[in-house]
Amino acid sequence: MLLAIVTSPGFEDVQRLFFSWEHFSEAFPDVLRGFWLDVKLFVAVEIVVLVLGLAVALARLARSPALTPLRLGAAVYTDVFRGLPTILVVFLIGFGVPALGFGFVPDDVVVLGAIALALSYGAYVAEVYRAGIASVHPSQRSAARALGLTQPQAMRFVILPQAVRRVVPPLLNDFISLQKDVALVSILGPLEAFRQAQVYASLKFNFTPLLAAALLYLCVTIPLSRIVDHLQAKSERERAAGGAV
Amino acid sequence: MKRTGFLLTVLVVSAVLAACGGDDETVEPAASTVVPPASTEVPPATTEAVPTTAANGLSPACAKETLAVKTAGKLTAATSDPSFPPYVMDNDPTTGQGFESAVAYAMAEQFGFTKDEVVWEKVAFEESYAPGPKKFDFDINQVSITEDRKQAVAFSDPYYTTSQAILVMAESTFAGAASLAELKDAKLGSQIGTSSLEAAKDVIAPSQEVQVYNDTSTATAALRNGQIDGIVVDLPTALFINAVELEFAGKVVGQFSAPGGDDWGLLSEKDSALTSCLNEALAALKASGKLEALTTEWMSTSAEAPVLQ
Repeated sequence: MLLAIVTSPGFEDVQRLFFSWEHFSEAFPDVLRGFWLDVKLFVAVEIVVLVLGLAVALARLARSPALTPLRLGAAVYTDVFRGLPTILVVFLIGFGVPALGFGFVPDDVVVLGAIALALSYGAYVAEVYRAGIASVHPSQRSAARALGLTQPQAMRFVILPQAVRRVVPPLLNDFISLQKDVALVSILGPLEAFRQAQVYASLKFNFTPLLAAALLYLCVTIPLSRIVDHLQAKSERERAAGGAV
Repeated sequence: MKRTGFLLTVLVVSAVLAACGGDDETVEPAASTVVPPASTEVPPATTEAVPTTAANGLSPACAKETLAVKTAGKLTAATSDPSFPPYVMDNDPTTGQGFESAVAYAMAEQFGFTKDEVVWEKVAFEESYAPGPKKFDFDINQVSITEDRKQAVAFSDPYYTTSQAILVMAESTFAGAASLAELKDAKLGSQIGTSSLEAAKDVIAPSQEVQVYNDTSTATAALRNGQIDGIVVDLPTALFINAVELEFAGKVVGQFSAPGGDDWGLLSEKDSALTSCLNEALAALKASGKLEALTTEWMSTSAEAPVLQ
């Protein structure tokens, strides 16, 4: 197949426009600088998402009738933000919210973009947590209650530790997804890696810088994927610790 | 205006001197203070050496019947979707309303195509320079001619030369700027892929990174929100945004030239056989004064924007 690509009639054009070393090396420093913004955004948003997601999941699982509004609110939140394309959320929050003219809205678009991403991914991650919590057998809760733990204590010390351990691989999966989606903040103006590459490409009519950006993303996402695999394998081994059947 | 006198001169000199007329013309546009280097090359148009002309007044190779178009009997023009006024009105290039739409139809008419024989393709800016066969004969979308870009596509001679403008909100602290140096600390925004973006970075060289937007409408939204202090954009667009979108709540603080000038050309496939004919037709439109008339009709005057150094 590689041979078919290399010998295709358009290959020379493709090579010139996508794989030009000259354009690659010229654009790389700018793209790398943009990528640093991606990394900072990713780390900051991920921390917020982990906390927000857990809070929403717990709210949705609240059993007390008094907490019904909270439960409903959490359900509406996950439905809405999981149902909207992330790019739309970024656009609406980045351009729409400041237009409302509230004094307390941050005027930095990077912050607004981060908020949008956190809201969008918080909804996904909340569902991951909820699935994890639901996967812990009810007898665990009963046993904890029988030992005299209160409802919150049972959640905190018995259920959550097991649930979180189970959902680490799917959480990391969402990490990887988020790591790529930080590029969406570029529609608000900031120059992150993809945007830097795009700027260069549109100036010179050469797509090579986009390849540079792609490589940078892979430099982060591939190791992350390997970690996910490793964790999954480890958890399988632990589950089978009692001995193979 | 002196335009009338110019027109008369061209008429008197007649079509035989079309090439020379085209050359004179490029000095004329009021918007720019720069004589673009590209336009010093006189297009290989109808010269005295060619004895016969086709029915459309162009050289035989550019006759409507033999023109190297994508679809026989049709002229396929392209522009982006959305496309913005004053270049295309109401995002509908088929009406002939708006500068670039009008220029495309004038080109078609010059070649001998009727209005019905002009087909429009919606082609995104990125798509216009992607490798591979193109689905249009020419793309007219305010694309600046540069040497780098010529490695990927073919350009006609310029059909318009613009200067860059800085648009701010009227109440902004930068609204009173009288020189480019006073704009150094402004947070500026510009549209991706435009020479305005490069001009902002290279000529103004602001202390904060220039923000990049997908199109002028998002840049305008950011300006309105106070996320940026100013937009750098070509002058006709700046005047249009201020008049229509901002309803004069903004102010065009001034205009300046992009490094190397900013000539817009019709974009075709690289090594396109059509380019020389596009140049002939353009030269004819310049000679007849038609291009000048369209420019006057659609592009705002630059009188209200002082030139910044």
